[in-house]
Amino acid sequence: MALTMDWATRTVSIPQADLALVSGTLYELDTNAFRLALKALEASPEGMSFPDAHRHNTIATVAGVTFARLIEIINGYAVEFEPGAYSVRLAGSNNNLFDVEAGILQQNTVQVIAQNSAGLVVVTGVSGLTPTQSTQLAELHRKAGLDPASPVDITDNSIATDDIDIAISQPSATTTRLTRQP
Amino acid sequence: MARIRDSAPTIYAAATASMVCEMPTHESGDLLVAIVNKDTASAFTTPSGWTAERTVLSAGAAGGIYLKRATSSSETVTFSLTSETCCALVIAVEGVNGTTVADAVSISAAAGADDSTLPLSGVGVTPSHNDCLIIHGLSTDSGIAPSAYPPWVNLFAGDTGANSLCVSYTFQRTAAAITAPDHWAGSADDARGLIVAIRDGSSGAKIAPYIPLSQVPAVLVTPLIGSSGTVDRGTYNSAAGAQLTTINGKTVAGQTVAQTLDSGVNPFRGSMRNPGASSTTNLNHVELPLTTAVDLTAGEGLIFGTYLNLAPRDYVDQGSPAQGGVYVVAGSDASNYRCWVVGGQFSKTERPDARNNYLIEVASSDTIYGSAGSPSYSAADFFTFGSSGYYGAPTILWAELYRIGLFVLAGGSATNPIGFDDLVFVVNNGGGILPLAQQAGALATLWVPIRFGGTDAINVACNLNTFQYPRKADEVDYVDFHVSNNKIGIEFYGVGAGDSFTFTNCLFTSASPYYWRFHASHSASAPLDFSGSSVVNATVTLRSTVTLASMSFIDCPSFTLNSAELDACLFDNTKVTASAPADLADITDARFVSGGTGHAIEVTGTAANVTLTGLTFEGYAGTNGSTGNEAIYVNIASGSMTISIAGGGSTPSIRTAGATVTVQNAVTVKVTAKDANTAAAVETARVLLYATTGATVTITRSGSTATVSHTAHGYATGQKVAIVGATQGEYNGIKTITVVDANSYTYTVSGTPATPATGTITSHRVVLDGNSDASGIVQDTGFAYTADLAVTGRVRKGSAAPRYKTSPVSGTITTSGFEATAFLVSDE
Repeated sequence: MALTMDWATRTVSIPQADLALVSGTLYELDTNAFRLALKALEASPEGMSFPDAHRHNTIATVAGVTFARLIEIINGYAVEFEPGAYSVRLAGSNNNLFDVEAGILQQNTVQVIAQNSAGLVVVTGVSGLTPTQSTQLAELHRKAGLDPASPVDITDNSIATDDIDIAISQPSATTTRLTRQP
Repeated sequence: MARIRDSAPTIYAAATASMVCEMPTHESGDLLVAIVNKDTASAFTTPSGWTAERTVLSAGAAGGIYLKRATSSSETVTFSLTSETCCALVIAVEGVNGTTVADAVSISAAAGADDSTLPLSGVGVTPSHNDCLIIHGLSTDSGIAPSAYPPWVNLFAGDTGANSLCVSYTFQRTAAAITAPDHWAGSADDARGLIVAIRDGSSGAKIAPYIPLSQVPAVLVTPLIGSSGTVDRGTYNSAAGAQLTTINGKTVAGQTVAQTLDSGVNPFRGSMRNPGASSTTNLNHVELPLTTAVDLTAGEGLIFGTYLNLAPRDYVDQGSPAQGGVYVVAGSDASNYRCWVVGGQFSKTERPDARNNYLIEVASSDTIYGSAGSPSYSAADFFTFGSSGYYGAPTILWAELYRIGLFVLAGGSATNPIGFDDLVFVVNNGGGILPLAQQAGALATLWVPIRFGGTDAINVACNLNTFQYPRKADEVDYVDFHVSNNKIGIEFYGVGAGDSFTFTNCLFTSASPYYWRFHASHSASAPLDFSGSSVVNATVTLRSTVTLASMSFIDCPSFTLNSAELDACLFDNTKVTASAPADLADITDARFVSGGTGHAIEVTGTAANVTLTGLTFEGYAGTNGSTGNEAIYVNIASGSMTISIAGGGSTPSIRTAGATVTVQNAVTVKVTAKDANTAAAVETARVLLYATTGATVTITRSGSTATVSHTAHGYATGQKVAIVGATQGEYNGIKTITVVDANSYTYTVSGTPATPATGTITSHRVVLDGNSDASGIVQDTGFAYTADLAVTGRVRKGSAAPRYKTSPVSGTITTSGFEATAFLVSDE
C-alpha cells in the first residue's frame, strides 16, 4: 500500500488506489494490509522517533473458532481517505478506523462502512457469510436506518440511502412493490 | 669471537715431577690453552701433541702458554717437571678460527724482562685481526697471588706458596695495540707476562662477557693485606702513634696492624687484621695513612671494601652499630674525615661467619657515624679500620679497598647471548676480584652501578633472575650500604641492532630507590624483551626509543616516560610522569593500582587531546578533585583538553592545575534484538536509543533550515538528535545536525512551519539509530562516556516479515557502557 504519514499532524493518508473496488462506488479496504503498511511507516527511520500509531491483536483461534484481528489506531493518530464520492468498506478486522467521534477518521466526502462485530470471526469452508452475503447484510443494515452514518430517506415512491435507491410503486390496489434501482 | 667454554685450575703446593692438569670441559675443535707456572727457572718440557706458544723464565720461576686443537672431548695434558711446586690453568676456547694452532693465533708475546715492582706489569700485543679473545698470564716467583687490574677479567689468581700465576682475559673488537695489564699482589717478586690473541672462527657468534678496555670499573685504593709500605700503599701507624683520638665523642685507641695469611677475598692473599680491644667506652682502630693520596671522587665516588670476623666468636664481641660497631674512616687527615659504621652486633646486615661487604659514597654525609673538619676526597690519604669492643675484643680482618666506577658490560651475540652467570662472573672478576655481585641461586645482590652496552655491543638474556641492591644504611639495622638513593642502578644502552636485551620474568628490586633506566642515546634498533619482569622501587627513566610490554612497575618513586611505548604493563603505586599529553597514548592496555596516595599519571606540557587505550585505574579517588589521589593529574595551568577513554579502559578521576579537562570514556552501547518466543536474533530490526532527558532548546527557521539554539551542546556535525515537543510537528523527529558553533546547530526541516517554533521543545542526544545485523545487534563501540546517561528507545521491525510489536528499551549508560536485549513479540 502507498500509505503516507504526515508525522507533523500524525495523519495517515490512504489513497483510493489502495482500495479494492467492490461495485459501483463501493470500495473495500483490506485493513490488515493497511496495518502492515502502517507498521512499515512506524519502523522507518523517520517514524522511529514517534509513538506507535496502532495497536494490533492478531487473529486468534479459540476452541476451533478463529476470531478476527483487532486493529486500533492510537496515540492521537488519524486516518484520512483520499477525498472522493465513494464508499469504503473496512474489511478483515474489527477496528476503529471509522471512528469519527474519537477523531480517528478524518471525515470527508468518503463514506466509510464499518463491519465491526463482537462475533466477527474469520470463516474458512462452508459456514458463515460469503462476501456477497456480507454486502447484502450491510445494505440491509443501512436500509433499515441502523447506521447513523447512513440516514434513510423514505418518500411515497422511494427509499434511499447512500448508494441504495429503492423505488416504491403500486402495480395494483392491493400491491406495493419495492424495486432497487440500478 | 672465540669464547671460553670452560677453564680448570691445577695447583701442586707440594713439589712434584709430574703436573697432571685438571681439564676443562671441551669438544673437538676447541683450542686448549694451558698456562703454566713453576717455582724454578727452568723451562717446561712441552707435552706431546702440544705447541709451546710462549715461554718465560724469570729469576726464580718459569711459565708458559701451551696450545693444542682438541681432537676429542677427552684430551689430557701432563707436564713433566724435575720436582717443583707448580700450577696451571687450562682453558677450552670454542669458536676459534681454522683447525690448527697456527690458525687460531693472531699474535702472542712474552715479557722480556723481570718485573719485581708493584704493580707487576704483564705484556701487551697488537693483534693482527679483529675480534680477538686475549688471554694473559703472569708467572711469578713466590706465593704472591697476583690479580689483574680492572677491566681485565681474572680467571685464576693463585699460588702454590712458592710461585704464583694469574690468568685473565679481555676482548678486542678492532685490532689495535693492547697495553700490558698491571697486577697487584701480596708482595713483589720476579714476574713475567705471557699473552696470546686468539682469532675468532664463529663470525662473532660466540663472545664471552667482558668489560671493554676503555672502561675503568674499579681502581685499587689499597689491598689491605696488612703489610706496611708498598703493598698496602701506606705505612700503618703504630698503636701509640695513632692520630685520630675521638670519633663521635668516643675516645679512640690505636691498634697495631697485624696480618692473617690466606684470608683475603682472594684466599691466596692475606688480609689486614685489627686485633681489637675490649672497652665499653672506647673505640679502637688501625690507621693507614696512604703514601700517595687518591682521588675518591673520581668514577662514581664510591669506595668498596670487605671485612671478616677472624672467628664467628668475634661477632659477639662487637658493639652495636650505635656503639660504634665496625667502622671505616676515610679522610684527608686525622682532622678531616668522615666515619661510617659498616657493621655491628645485632645489625641485620652483618653475617658473623662470612665476609661482609660495605659500600660508601664519600660525598654523602647523611649516614655517617662521626666526622671532623672538611675532608678533601679528591686527595684522600687517611683511612682507619676499627670497631667497638663493647662486649669483648673483636678481631676483624679487612681486605681490598677499591674505588668503584661504572661497570660497563659487553659481550654475547644474538644467537649466543650472555646469561646471568656470565654477568655475575664478569662483575666479580672484572673489577679486581671482589664480591660485587653476590649470587645466591638465581639472585644477585649488586654493589655497583651497571651499564649494559654502550661501548661494545652486548647481547644478554636472563630469565627468572633477580637483581637487587642493598638497603640504604639507617645506622641501626642496615649499616653496609652508605649510598644515596638513586646513586647507583642499572642502565641499558643499546647502540644499535647489534645489541639486544632480554630480561624475561626477572625481578629488579631494592628496599631503597635505585635507578633503572635507558641511556639517552639508546637505539630503537636494539631489541628489548622484558616481558614478565618486575621493577620495584626504582627511579625509572625510559626513552622514546624504548618499547616494553607485559612488565610490572611496583612502588617506583619516579617514572619518567619520555615517550616510551608501554603495553600491557602494571603500575602499582607508581606514578607515570609524561611531559606531554600525547605521550599518554604511548601507554596501552595498562593497569594502574593506587598505593593509597598519589596519582597514576602526571602530565605536563601544553593541553592537548589524547586517547587513553585500555588503561584501568584501581583505588584512586572516585571523583575529580585535588586530594592528590586522583588517577590523572593534569599539571597544566591553562587551555582545555579532552581525554578519551578507549579500548575498555576505565574512567580516571582528574586533578587539574587549571586546564579544562573533559574525560570521555569510549564505552560500548549495544542493543540486541531477539525473538521473544525463540530467542533467535532478529536481523534488520530498527533500533533507536536516545537520551531520556533532553536539553530545552529554541528553534527558528529560515527556508528549510531550522536553527537550534542549544547551550554548550557538545555535539559534532553529522550527529543525530531527537527533537520533541515542538507544536509544529515538522520540527520534531530524528534530525542529523550541522554544528554552527558551541551553542547552536542546524538541520533540514520540511514544509514551512511557523517560526520560531513553539511548545516545550527539547533536544535529545541520539545514541543508537540503525538496523540490527545478523546477530541482532546494533552498537556503538566508541561511545564517549562523560557521565552516567539515562537512555530510552525502542526496537521495531515492521518493514518485512516476520514483523514484531514495538519493544521499548531503557537504562543507563555507565562507565561500563550499556547493553540491553529487546525481546520482540510477533505481530503477524
